Amino acid sequence: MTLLEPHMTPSADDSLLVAGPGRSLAQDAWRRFKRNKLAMFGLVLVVFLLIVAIVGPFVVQDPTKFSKTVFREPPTRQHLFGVDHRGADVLANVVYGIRLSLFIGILATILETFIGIFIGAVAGWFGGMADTLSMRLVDIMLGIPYIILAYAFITVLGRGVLAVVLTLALTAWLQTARTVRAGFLQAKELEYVEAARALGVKSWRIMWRHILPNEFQPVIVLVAVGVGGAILAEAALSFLGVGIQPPAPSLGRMIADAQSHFASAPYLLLFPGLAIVVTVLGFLLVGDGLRDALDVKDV
Amino acid sequence: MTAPMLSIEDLRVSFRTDDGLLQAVRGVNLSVDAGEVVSVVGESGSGKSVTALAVLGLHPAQRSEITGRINWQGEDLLAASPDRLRQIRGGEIAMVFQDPLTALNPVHTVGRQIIEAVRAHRDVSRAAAKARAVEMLGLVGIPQPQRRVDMYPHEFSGGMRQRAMIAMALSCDPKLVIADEPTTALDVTVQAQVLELLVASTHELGSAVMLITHDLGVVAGLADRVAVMYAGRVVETSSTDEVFAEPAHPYTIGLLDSLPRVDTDVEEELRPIGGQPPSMLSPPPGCAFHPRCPFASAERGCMTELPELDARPHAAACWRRDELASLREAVTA
Repeated sequence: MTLLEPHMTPSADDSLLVAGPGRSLAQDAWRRFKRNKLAMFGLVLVVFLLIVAIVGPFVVQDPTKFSKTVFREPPTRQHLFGVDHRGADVLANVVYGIRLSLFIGILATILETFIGIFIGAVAGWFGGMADTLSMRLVDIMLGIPYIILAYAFITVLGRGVLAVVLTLALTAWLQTARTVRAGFLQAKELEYVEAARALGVKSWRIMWRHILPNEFQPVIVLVAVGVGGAILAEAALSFLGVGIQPPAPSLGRMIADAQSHFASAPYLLLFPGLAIVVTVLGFLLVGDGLRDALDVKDV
Repeated sequence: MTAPMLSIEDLRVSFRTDDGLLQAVRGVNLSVDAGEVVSVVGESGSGKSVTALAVLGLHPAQRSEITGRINWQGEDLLAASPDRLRQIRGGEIAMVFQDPLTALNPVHTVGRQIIEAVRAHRDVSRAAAKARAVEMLGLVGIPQPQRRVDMYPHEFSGGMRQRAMIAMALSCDPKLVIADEPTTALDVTVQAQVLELLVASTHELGSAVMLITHDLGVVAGLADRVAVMYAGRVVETSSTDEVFAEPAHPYTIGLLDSLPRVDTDVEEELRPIGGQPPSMLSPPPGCAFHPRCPFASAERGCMTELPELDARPHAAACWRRDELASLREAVTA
């Protein structure tokens, strides 16, 4: 356990031992994270994208305003990323696309994490039927190719941003649930859990206040990686035409639209594609860095 | 005589394992009076801890079979509802665990863990519970309790962690504290200190103590009464003085002989008990100690019949109990 300081040896009289301010686990992790160049690069990407998402709309043009005269124009000083076949500014669409992608990715991951923690904790703590049922459900869902599973969900849930968020959340909690369950299975045998029970602490409280904080590190890693995954999945669904619907801007749909013009206007494909790659890469690098910094082995 | 505060009658605990039914406790009778210090002594696997956990109802129901009676102030704990059990745990019967390092949650401060114990049983404000935590840490001799209360377990030394565990166990004024080998994980230099503290602080609060240990030496100065356990049964129980002066079971004799004493000759070797404790998957027939007992005799029924704990005040479960004194002399002569 990294929490333990090896220099703490038992001594008969502790009155001389004045504990210093100490470094918290979070400070330790941040120090390790900072030393990791790739992870810091990922963090810079993520922060940059968040700034783009927040400030971007004040800078770029209206993505739904179509020019009546300019179509399919390569990048110019006026239109840095060019103009698409409809006469819309590509930069504006990419910025708004990133904004929506981040919103969907983050919201879906938050939801997914809550679902995963709840199911994993209940399965691991109570065991028995709750465990068997939920873990077999996880096995079945993991057995279906992801994009087909997501396609099935969104077919039922309808169209629009909310449907996409729900689809991503309802299909992505599997790994979180498994990880949390494994943590609970281990932790419930530990003495501090038995000690808490022996003191008359309620089960529910032991689960959330005692075990969850101890098993939270892998969940943090999964959240970072999960946002990247959710953004990629959203792009895939939109590419297939079942995700974000016009007029809402979507990177996935821009790529789908650009396909037919690839030979004559490759920039239409390049910029939204690059945006997706950069976004997903940023979150994955941050996730990797967190995994190392928090010393999580099993994710 | 009034009924004892806690009386365990014919307690049997078995666990279902892949290799069959493990009979960890096979008919234990044990009682604890208010304010008394009772020590339960035995080797690993003799069923001491299993008995203690059964009192608090902490065995997983899916894997264990428990029969008998555990009378707690006139109430059968084996029949108690989960809610009632939760009230008793910590509130009336508290437990101090073996390893304070793993029994304290590393992510919460020591104070927060004591506050939680207090608030699980008393309807008091957070501030009042914290004041209680500081008071208890002071009682167990932790210096600067106001500062220490906000520290994490890893900032405490081993001895201090166990003191904090004791403070936590005592925080709700329990009538009985069960201490399961409370000093095994500690540095030898602080073991005696922590034990004395445990007994002194429970005495101050008027709580009884059930002290579980494998070390008879620990028991000598602290316990009012001793119960020696072997293979899931109590084989001898009486006042501490009597057990030390006149052990009435070959196992107790073996334990005492294996202890270094101030009055033994330096040249004299310690005599360990030969053999291994029996497997509780298939305990030996008759007296469970017979395969290791120097006095076991087929004619007396040692190999075939289980000796009951006899009803004398100094109770022992041995077929040859009345001959032991002469038998021992014959051996040493």
